Amino acid sequence: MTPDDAKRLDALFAAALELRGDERERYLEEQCGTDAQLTKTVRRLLAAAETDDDSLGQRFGHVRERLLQEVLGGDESDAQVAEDLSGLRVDVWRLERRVARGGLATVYLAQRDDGEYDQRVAFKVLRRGLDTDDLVARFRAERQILSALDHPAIAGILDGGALEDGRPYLVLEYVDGQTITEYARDRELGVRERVRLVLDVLGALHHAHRHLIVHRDIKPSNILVSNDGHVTLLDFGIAKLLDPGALPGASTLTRTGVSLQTPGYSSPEQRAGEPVTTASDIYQAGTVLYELLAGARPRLADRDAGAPPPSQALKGKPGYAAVRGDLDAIIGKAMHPDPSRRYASADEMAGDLKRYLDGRPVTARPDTLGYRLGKLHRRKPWLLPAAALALLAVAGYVYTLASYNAQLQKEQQRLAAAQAFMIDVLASPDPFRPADPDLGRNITVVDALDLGRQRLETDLLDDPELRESVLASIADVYANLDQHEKAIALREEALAIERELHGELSEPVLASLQQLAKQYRAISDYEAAGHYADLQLATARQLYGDDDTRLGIAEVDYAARLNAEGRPDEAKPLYRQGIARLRRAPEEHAEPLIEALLALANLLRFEANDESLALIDEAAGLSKALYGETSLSMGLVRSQRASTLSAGRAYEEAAREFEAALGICEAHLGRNHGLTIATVNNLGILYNRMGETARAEELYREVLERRRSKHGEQHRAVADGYQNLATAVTRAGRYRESIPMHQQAYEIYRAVLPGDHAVIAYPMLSRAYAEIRLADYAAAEASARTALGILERSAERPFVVGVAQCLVALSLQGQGQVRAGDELLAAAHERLVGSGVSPTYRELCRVPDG
Amino acid sequence: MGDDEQDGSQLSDLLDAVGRGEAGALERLVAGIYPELKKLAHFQLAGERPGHTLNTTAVVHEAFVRLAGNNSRYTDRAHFLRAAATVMRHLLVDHARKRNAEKRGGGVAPLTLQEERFANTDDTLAVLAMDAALKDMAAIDPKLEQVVECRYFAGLSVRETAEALDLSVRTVERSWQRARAYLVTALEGESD
Repeated sequence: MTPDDAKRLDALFAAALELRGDERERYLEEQCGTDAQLTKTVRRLLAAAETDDDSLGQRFGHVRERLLQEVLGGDESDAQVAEDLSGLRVDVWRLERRVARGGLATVYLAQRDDGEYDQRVAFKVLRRGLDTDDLVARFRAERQILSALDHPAIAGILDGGALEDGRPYLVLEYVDGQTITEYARDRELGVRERVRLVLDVLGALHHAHRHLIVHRDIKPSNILVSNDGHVTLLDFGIAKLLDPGALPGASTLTRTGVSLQTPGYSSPEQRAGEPVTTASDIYQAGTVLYELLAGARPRLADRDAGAPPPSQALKGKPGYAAVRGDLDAIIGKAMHPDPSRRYASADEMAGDLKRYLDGRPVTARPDTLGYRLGKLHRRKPWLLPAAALALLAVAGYVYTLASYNAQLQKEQQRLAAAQAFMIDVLASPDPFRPADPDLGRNITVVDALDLGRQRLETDLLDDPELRESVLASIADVYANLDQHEKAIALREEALAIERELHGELSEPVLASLQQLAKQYRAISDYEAAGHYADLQLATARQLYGDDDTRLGIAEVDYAARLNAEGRPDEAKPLYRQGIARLRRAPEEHAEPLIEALLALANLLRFEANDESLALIDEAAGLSKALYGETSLSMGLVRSQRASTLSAGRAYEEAAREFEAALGICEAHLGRNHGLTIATVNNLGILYNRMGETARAEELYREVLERRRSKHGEQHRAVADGYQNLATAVTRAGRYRESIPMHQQAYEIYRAVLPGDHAVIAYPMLSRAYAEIRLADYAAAEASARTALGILERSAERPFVVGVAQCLVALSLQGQGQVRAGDELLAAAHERLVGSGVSPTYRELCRVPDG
Repeated sequence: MGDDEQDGSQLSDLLDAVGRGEAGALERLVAGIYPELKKLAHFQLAGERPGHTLNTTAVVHEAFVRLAGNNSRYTDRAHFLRAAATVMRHLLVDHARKRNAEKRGGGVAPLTLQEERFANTDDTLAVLAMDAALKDMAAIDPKLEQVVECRYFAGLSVRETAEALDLSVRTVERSWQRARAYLVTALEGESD
């Protein structure tokens, strides 16, 4: 196009712009005539002229601020800003390159550099010159907040410390991905897929909120999506405990916090400098969903008055029909200018989005008959054709819906009241104690909860439903924080109220029974756990009847209890039964189903290796489809696959699976989480089997130390640690050194496990073996007899009993009682021939080939 | 005039010269206010309010108050805003060009971390695309280029833009609508 052409086009365009409707059409026909190319170009310009001022302006404004920040902030002469620590080694971390620089901190890509693991991390260090007390405190707060959180969609903290010059740093999970908006745009995701991404964000938010943490800066650049679709919420840099600002001494953080938010996504109350609650995060999540669906944020001016429906921005474009209606209503509710009119929780907003995805009525929609009928028609089209049937169906449906809504409303009120109570607790610590100036800065989630619990004891929360709801929600937070005893105490009180209010046969009672069984199992109190598991299963049976998929959850929970008690043969059929039920609604029950498939696979790994692998493949399919290739769930699947492969002697493949599982666990949970430790442990077991004993022993020692510092001495996991280490030491031929370790394992097992649990016998078996090697036959006989006594009472596999008999027999022979020894050895051989006993014992017991 | 002790009268003379359309005056003004803009922006970024997002509009206005003092004339302010818009555009485009060259040469991986991240390649390209589109627009109607400079690069409102360019608000609005249409089509073409 020549400059003159361009000018002519511009004149035409400018003139057409002044005209409307038919006039414009006539003008275009006159001026362009048959020139189709010209018509097209002018029309394209006219359409582009209607672009929302904000959508381009915001995008450009954002780019402008960012680039200017670089050009002006990145002055080479300014050491403070130009500092680059690439190449530096801090503790075990080697900083590779600078990847991001914010106002407060610089972030480096770093690598673990002690030869232990290959791990990429984000190393975030406070910028030089900014290490004022305030900012150091903020950095510490971020560390504390992140340590309290443990969720697959939250970038976890791995380590932290201070540089030599005293500046604090954080080591965080490294997330490789695109921002949520870029991801959706590049992959041209549909409306439903975009909604699913936001569901993951809400899951992370709900987790944070349950820990009384408000993020305050939810925006697309803080939400990254990896190639396989895993969503991660980043940057809790300005997050805070739910309103510690109201606590004495905490004003500094709050004041700074106000100026740190990103204005484009802040809620009206944030902009007004009013107290920030979880409702602000809901607002911001709504803004992100709005932007994902409509392509841009609503105009700022509109936002204070309540956002216009996002479908308005889509008129005449694809997606309009899908967004109009339910999604308009959901976003409208999330972005309501009045915080109290928004969703009461992230979970509730997620519930509505799920209802939208399922085609069920959403709670955000005004309750009109037309709406319900429309929904009904879309969801159950077969209901409407026959008029008579339709009337009946609609009457019934409306009735169900009405009672459902009433229920929902009540739930919401209770949730809101519970939240108000917790805010109140945080706002008013014990009035009889002098205000502690450090309280605000140093308060932990547990402190806050303890305050809440104290208040519950002294306060007459006379609405029993409210009291129950507060008890249950505090109990859940305790449970998530590994504070099992406190969780149990509150749950039991909640259960008593629920029984009073709803009767034994009710969902709240069932939920409490399930939690209590789980919590008691976690502290190894199997008697109490068994009691609640019995009740849970019986209640679920009566409540749901035999044909409900939800009964499957109670069944697999019960099977887990049997398994934990050392009754695998009873656990297996119940797992099968529960799994069959859950398979009928796999998406709805994905979590318990995957868990049960893996647990059963573990039980079958020796006796039915192929079936075990098939179950794992089924779990893998579900997990990959629902959570993605690098999800934590996939980590568990791969870990179990490794165990099964190892049981089938496919050691090399098993080692690869374990390494993959370990990578996933470390990325999601950090090195000190129980699951990561368990995976390291399993890798140790595998090395042991492969004959790499030195490597195995090293891993076992590390596992044991981490478990002891985490659980104290009296814990099953610690006993497992002693036992594995003792076995490795035995294998290395250091028999004398192994004996006290075996003894310690035995004593802990005996203290924490039921008396007839086969595992108690294991340390005594390997101890007897060591004593035989040392030719201390009397001691060996005592150890082996102890083991045999336990095993005969237990449901352990016959060949293990055979091993115990063999060890007693060899001890007897060693002491000169040759005949008694021979007889017992013959009995042992009956159990050992053709079994899966390890080569060590096969050789020791001289098992004939069979 | 990058000096801290800069007094208002010298600036005022220069602004007058710009107003008279004196040859080279605008360039001298641009060169003169650059250091002050830079200093203010830097102060805003790394100074007493760490973590705060840079606010271009505030920087521009603050620079004017500091340079021209309180007894400045209305027309001074208009010329200053006009010059500041040009400064901002040059700053951005130069930087984007440099970054783009680095990107192509260095092959830096995409940046995916917390904190405000460095601008990514897309952003830089958007700035360069916009700069190119502005040059095309200037050939059609210089008003279009000037309006975009004021609105986007200096973050001025429609009213301030009218003031800076000595146009009526209505004219700015019309030019703005046309300019936006050209920008949108140009940027769409970029991503196609």
